Amino acid sequence: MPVRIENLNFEYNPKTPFAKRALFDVTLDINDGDFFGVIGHTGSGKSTLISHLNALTRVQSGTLFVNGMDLSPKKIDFKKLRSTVGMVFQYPEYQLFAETVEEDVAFGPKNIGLSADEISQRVREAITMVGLDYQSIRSRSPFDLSGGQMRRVALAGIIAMRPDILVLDEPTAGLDPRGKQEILTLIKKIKQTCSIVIMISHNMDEVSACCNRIAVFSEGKVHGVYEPRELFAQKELLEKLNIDMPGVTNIASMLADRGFNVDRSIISEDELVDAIVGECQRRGLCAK
Amino acid sequence: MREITLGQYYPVRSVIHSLDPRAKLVLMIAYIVMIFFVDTFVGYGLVLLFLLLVIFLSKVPLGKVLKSLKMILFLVIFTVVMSVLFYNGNENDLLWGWGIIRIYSQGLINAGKMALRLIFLVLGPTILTFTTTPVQLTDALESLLKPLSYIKVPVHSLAMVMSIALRLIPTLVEETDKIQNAQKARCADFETGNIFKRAKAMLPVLIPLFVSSFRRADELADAMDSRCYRGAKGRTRMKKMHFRLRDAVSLLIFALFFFVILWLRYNFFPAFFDLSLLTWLV
Ligand SMILES: Nc1ncnc2c1ncn2[C@@H]1O[C@H](COP(=O)(O)OP(=O)(O)O)[C@@H](O)[C@H]1O
Ligand SMILES: [Mg+2]
Repeated sequence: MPVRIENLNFEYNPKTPFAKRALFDVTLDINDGDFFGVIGHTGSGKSTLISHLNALTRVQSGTLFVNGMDLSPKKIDFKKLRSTVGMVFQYPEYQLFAETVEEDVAFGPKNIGLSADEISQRVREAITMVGLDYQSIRSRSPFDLSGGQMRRVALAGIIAMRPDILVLDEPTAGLDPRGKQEILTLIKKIKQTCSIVIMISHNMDEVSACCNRIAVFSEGKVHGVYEPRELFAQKELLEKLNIDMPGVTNIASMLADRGFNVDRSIISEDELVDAIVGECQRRGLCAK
Repeated sequence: MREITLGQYYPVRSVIHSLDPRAKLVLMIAYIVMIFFVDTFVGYGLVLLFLLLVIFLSKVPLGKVLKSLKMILFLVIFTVVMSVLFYNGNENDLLWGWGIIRIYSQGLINAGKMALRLIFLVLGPTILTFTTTPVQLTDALESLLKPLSYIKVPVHSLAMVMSIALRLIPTLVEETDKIQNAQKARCADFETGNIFKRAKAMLPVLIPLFVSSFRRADELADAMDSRCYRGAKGRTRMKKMHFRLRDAVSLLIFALFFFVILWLRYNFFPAFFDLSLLTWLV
């Protein structure tokens, strides 16, 4: 079910000297099936926007519908909303608290009020889904795990609630390249069980590889919503917004600048290799 | 929640903000002492004028200052009611009596003075914290207590502990906020249930908070070590406090004011001008 955001405005600490406007007339439609990317500089309001989606931040002005649920009224069904919208914050491993991994993952399902059987089944499923071995890890302390494992456990804690919409705030921040890749693969796998995934990221390789639509934020406003190819082919726009290109797009663009006949909107390694090989063959530099 | 640091610093530029924090601290202490010498409504009137002038100069909105009195409202009301009820005056002073409840006019006057004293006592530190950051205050305290270090009181270490604690309070608040949000996103409920249930509901917030506090303390210690922190010895300041003309002038003005208050109370030089006459009018 979709997310509809219309003219959303938000100000922190209104009517004080610390007042800080964080969102200006944000209008966005996120549809079923979307893997929606949100990019923009630090402080551009990305986190503020997504914390509206499960009513951790309340609507000040504008309208916001999630799965047909109006989030403007003061009283809403928080439990229902928060089990529908799973929110993985930045550095989610800092939210771990329980004595064992199993208990920690069970925290969300327990709060929803599921039966014990249902809970233990979901916990097992979630832990397995994030690529950990249920039997060997279930009774370990989450504080003894490695950073990457802790993050997986935290993710499992959200997945165990079986959210329909999964929101991730910089899910790969602070991980090593391998850990990044693993989490990303995991998220793509989870995508098959949810109808919408929304991901904030600063890494354009990730965004271009995962997302089908990308919202570009700048100083609290939505600069535009693009498809990855459409966005990353616009060199001037990216320069103006000070956004990096994905690595492969950058190479494609440099090759094109030097007179090589490759498309500037290439966003995957395969495409780039194909384009280079194709061009070499055209020039007779290698066999067909 | 990010703005809730300890105290209530109101960030504007004003004469009062720019005074030497040491001068302000001394003035605040002297002010509190002075309040105990005021015992007439005329005196309180003068103090009120003085405070209004200071608040005006500080550019802090009057409403903000008054709002901070809300906290002691209950205390003031309680004090007034108690002192009116338990005042034992003589019978021809009786205003109203019913059973054992007897209200005397002198009792009312006393209670009024007591309420004013409480309010004025609180306003001093309030204005100080509105115009001085906690870090400035610790620095001022360290500087003023320096003589104690000659008798081996670890003034610098204490001040350092205090300023680190103060520095970390906003961080801690922010962190609490974040963790609380993360648990709320997992449908944690902090708002309903009786007090025990709510205290228990805070565990998933407190445990991660402790864990990260210890981690942060470790990191901070390492960072200080690696920048050769060795305590007070040979340490200079980045922001030196300067005692300037304006500080001297404020101290002088306050001394004069204190003198007037003492004059009101003890009426020395009666031949000169009998100020106590004024107090009869009230
Ligand atoms: N709790 C808060 N209190 C006050 N201001 C905040 C708070 N959180 C964020 N801001 C401000 O709101 C703006 C948007 O922040 P945020 O949504 O966190 O941006 P992003 O996630 O894109 O980095 C920033 O200018 C930030 O300083
Ligand atoms: Mg953010």
